[in-house]
Amino acid sequence: MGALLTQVFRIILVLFGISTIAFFLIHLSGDPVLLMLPPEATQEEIEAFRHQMGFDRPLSEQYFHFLTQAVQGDFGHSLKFNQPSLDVVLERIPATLELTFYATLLSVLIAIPLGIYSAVNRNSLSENLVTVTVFLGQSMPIFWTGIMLMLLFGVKLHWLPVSGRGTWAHLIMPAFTLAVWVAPTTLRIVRSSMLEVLQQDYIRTARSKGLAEKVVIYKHALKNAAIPIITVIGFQIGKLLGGAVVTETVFAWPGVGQLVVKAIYTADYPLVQACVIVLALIVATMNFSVDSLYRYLNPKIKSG
Amino acid sequence: MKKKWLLSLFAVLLAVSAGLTGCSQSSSSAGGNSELVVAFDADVPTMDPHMHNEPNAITTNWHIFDSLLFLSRDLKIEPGLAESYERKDDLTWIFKLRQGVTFHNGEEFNAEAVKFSLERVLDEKQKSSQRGNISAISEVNIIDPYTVEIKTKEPYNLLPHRLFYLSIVPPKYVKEVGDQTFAEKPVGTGPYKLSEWVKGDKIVLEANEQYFKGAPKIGKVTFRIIPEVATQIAELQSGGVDIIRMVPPDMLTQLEGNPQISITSTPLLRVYYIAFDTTKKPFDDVRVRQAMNHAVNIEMIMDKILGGKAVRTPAGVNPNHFGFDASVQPYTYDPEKAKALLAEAGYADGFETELHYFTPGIGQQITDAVISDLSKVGIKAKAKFYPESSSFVEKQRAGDLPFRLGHWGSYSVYDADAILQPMFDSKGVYGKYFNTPELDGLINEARSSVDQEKRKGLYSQAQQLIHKEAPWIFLFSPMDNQVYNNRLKFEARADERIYAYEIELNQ
Repeated sequence: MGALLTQVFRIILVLFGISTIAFFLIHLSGDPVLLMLPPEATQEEIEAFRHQMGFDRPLSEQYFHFLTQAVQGDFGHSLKFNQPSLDVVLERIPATLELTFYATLLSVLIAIPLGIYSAVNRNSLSENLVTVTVFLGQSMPIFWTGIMLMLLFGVKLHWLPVSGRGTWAHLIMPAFTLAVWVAPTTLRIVRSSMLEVLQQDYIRTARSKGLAEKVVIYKHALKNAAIPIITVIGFQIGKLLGGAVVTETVFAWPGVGQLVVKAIYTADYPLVQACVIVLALIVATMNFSVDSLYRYLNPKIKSG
Repeated sequence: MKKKWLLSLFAVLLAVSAGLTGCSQSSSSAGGNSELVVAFDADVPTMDPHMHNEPNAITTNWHIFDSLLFLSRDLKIEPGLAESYERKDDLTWIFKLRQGVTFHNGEEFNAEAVKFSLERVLDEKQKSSQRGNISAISEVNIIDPYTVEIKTKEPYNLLPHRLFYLSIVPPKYVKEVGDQTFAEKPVGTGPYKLSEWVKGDKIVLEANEQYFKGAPKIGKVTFRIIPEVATQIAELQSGGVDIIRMVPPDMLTQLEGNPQISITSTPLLRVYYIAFDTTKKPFDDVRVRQAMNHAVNIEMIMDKILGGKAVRTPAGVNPNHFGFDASVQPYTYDPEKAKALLAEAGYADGFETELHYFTPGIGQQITDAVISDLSKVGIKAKAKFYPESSSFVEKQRAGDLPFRLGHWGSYSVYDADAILQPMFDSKGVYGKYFNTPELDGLINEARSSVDQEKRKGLYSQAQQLIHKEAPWIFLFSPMDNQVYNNRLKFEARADERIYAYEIELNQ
């Protein structure tokens, strides 16, 4: 129970930190009023708007106001969309979560079998081949991978829709683009923890009992290698959300990633803040869940 | 064993995709031959036509709403919801309205709707960003159900131009559902009705069969939000969209050989310039400014950076502006003459300066080319880039940028006033950098005059003066490269809009 409270307290602290950084960074970058108003606006109109938005008040006061409102879930009106920023973000969250979820799933489907394969067949030619191929996926920029897939499967072969959201076919390329980008990290963990487990005494015992190699690997070894694997998969979510910013833009996927890029570009400050805080909340909650799961799976941690 | 896990991976993939198809709405984009798909680079902020200044939203609103007047493809004023208009005296305009027009919800269009719409934008409490466009209006009076009188505070020639973008909204509906709902579910008199808006993804419109000019030929129009140009191009090549616009010149080459695709380039109203602060040394000397105009090879920049898709603007005014004087000849590229003029002004060895700019993309390329050309006549310019346009605009407004690259879209007003007044009138937003009483006089006389021929003459004088005084290095106006699928009968508009009502499909 104490551990739970500590975790919740940590999340709150992280959110507070993130909001503070988001607030001050944004206020360092020029006058938003001039961007919002038409170029023909008179000086009086500019002043009136500045006042209306509260930009004429001292920064400390603006900050305090921002925090008290934010605690109540109010991040102000989006300057462009003319509706509460949080509403705009929440409308887009399902698309981003969908993409992140399937990208995670896909990366696991790539990483675990290949990780096991390379652990079992370590130092063979085929293992080296797998490693090289997968790490190529990681070293290609997401943007480039995305465009290349698009040109091949969308433009040349006409197998998949180039961009947008709607059917499962729309999801394959963006999810795959993200998956090949994060899979190598998971693969590496799968490989190393499998290697470690495979050298343990009980595996040798299992083998000497005459169990089939398949059973040894999947039933005995994988189960015990699972803890670090689950941890790394959980932490990948944060990375995936970052990658989604690029992927969503390339594939015109209507999620928060695309929204935050546009919001920064148009200096829609309340919206940027809402996006950043909501994404931070997701990452913090995810890390929290992974931590809890980790504790649950490995009771040894508790005492430590 | 290898085969087995590959198989199971495939099985899981299938399961995942089946699950997805079940839970998300399927888009029926297969469609008949009467669907048009246009790419937008960004979603629209709102469907309330009075609460934004965004190009994509204006295009969307054009399909759903009508204005009192239309702007034709060749930039002529045409009747819209107003059948005709006349100027009763310097301050009074009378608009005769079309009868028998209804909004999509059946509400009747009449003088009440016009008064409501204009007053809605003018109302300070509404906080419409379009108020500045029509702030010259002092009152709107209903003469009878189909006649409206509009009065302005001062004589205001540009009133019809300001009314193209002012959508007429249904008063009863707006009051009944409130602004918030209206912004989500707009109702207008236009050729298309809003059918679906999936935020961040697409806007779907369907034909209004009762449209007063006749039902549209294309039954369904979809605007798809695709932020990335490379993606837009891929979609066009795969047939996912029919029209994309603002394609950068260097990306056109990959489309050129494709037999299914046509490229058209329309001149834009936007003007690129490099402005001097003529109150500061060394730019206070007209010979220095003229020298710099001779020093930069503008034709070369247009050719190399814009692939020739640009037109020169010898005195700042765009050929599409009313009042453009084609007889004003651009400065020739002549580095020797530039050196001579610099020597005459006492800068034989040149000088050092900073060129401020913020425009990403071609802004960088233009800056590099200009700096290189200037170095050939001894002027050492350093580029100063602003990653945030707001800090650039802030300094520009304050008069703190003595030498800067900028561009100006004239607010889509096709009249020389829309560029000359803000840039060169001492009361204009950028009047701090260059103004003379003589130019002030010409601009203001033209502004308040009713006689179009006289205005034309005044603008000619103004352009000759500006050309000679060279407050800018006069650059060019780029073109909008629009690329479309050949199944369309498509002619681009000069005002950057895509208007499905004017588009047909080839059989």
